[in-house]
Amino acid sequence: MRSPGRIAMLAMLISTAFVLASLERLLPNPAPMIRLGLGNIMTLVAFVVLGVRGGVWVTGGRVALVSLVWGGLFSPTAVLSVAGGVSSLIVMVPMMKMGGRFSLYGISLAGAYAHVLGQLTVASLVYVGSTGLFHLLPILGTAALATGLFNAAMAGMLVKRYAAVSSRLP
Amino acid sequence: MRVVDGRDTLAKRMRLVRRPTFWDGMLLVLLLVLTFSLIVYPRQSIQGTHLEVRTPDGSVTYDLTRNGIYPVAGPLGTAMLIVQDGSARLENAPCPLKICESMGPVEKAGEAILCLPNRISVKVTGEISIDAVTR
Repeated sequence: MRSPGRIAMLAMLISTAFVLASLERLLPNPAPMIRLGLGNIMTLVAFVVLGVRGGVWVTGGRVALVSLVWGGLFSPTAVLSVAGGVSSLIVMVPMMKMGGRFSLYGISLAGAYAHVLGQLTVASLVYVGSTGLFHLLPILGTAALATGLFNAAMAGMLVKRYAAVSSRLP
Repeated sequence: MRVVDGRDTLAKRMRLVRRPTFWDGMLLVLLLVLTFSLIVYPRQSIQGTHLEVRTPDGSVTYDLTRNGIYPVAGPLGTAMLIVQDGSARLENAPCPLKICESMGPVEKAGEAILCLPNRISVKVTGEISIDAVTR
C-alpha cells in the first residue's frame, strides 16, 4: 500500500464507493429497507486490484465518509453502518484467503448477507433490546442474495479496467 | 488470495474474477435455506397483546388489541402509530429514509419497529398464558 500509484488507486476506489453509496441514498427507493449496497462493488474491486488490505481500507473509508456526510459520525445510523461494514469484512476477508474456492460471487454474496445479519443483530440488541427485528430477515436476506450477485457481476466487469491501469502503476 | 508459495500478486487475485464456482453455489443454497426456514418459523410465535413504545422522553405502553392512532414524538418530529386489527405500524414518519414505515406491520410478540434517526422503537409484547402452556 506504499507506492504513490497504489495510494492514488485506493483514494479513487474509496471516493467512487462514497459516490455510489450517496447516489443510492438520493435515488428514490420504493422499498427503503432494501439497499443495493453499491459501495461494496468498490470493495470487491479493491480486493482484486489492491489485495485484502485495500478492500478493508475501501470499506472503512466509505463507512467513515458516508457517516460523516449523511447524519453524523457517532449517530445511531453510523453505528449501524459500521456494524454492517465490519460484519461483511469479517466474512469476506477469510474467504479471500481460502485459496480460490470462492469467486467474487461467493465473496459478494456472503458479504451482503453478513452485512444484513450484522445490522439486524446490532439494531435488535442495542436499540430494541430483543431479537425484535429478525422478522425482517426473510425479506432482507433474500434481497441481500440478489444484490450480492448483482454487485459481483458489476465488480467483475469493472475490475478488468482497473486492473489494466493498476498493472502499469509506479 | 493467499496461495501456497505465499506471494500475493495481481495475476493471482485476478483468478477471483470468473464464473461462479461450485462453492459459490453451495453458499447460495445454504443462505437460501436459512432465509426461507425463517419465513416459516414466525408463524409459530404468539400473537402480541401490548405495544411498548420507547422514545427519548420515556416509555409508554399501548393496547395492541384495540384500534387507535397515537402520536409518537422523537427529536426529528412526530410519527403516527397506527394500531389496527391487532397489528401496528408507523406512518407520517419525519425521518429522511422512512425505513421505519416499511418495517411494519408488526403483530407477533417480540417483533419490533425501529426508527434510529428519530430514536423511536415500538416493540410488541405478549405473555404466554398459563393456559396455553398447560393445555
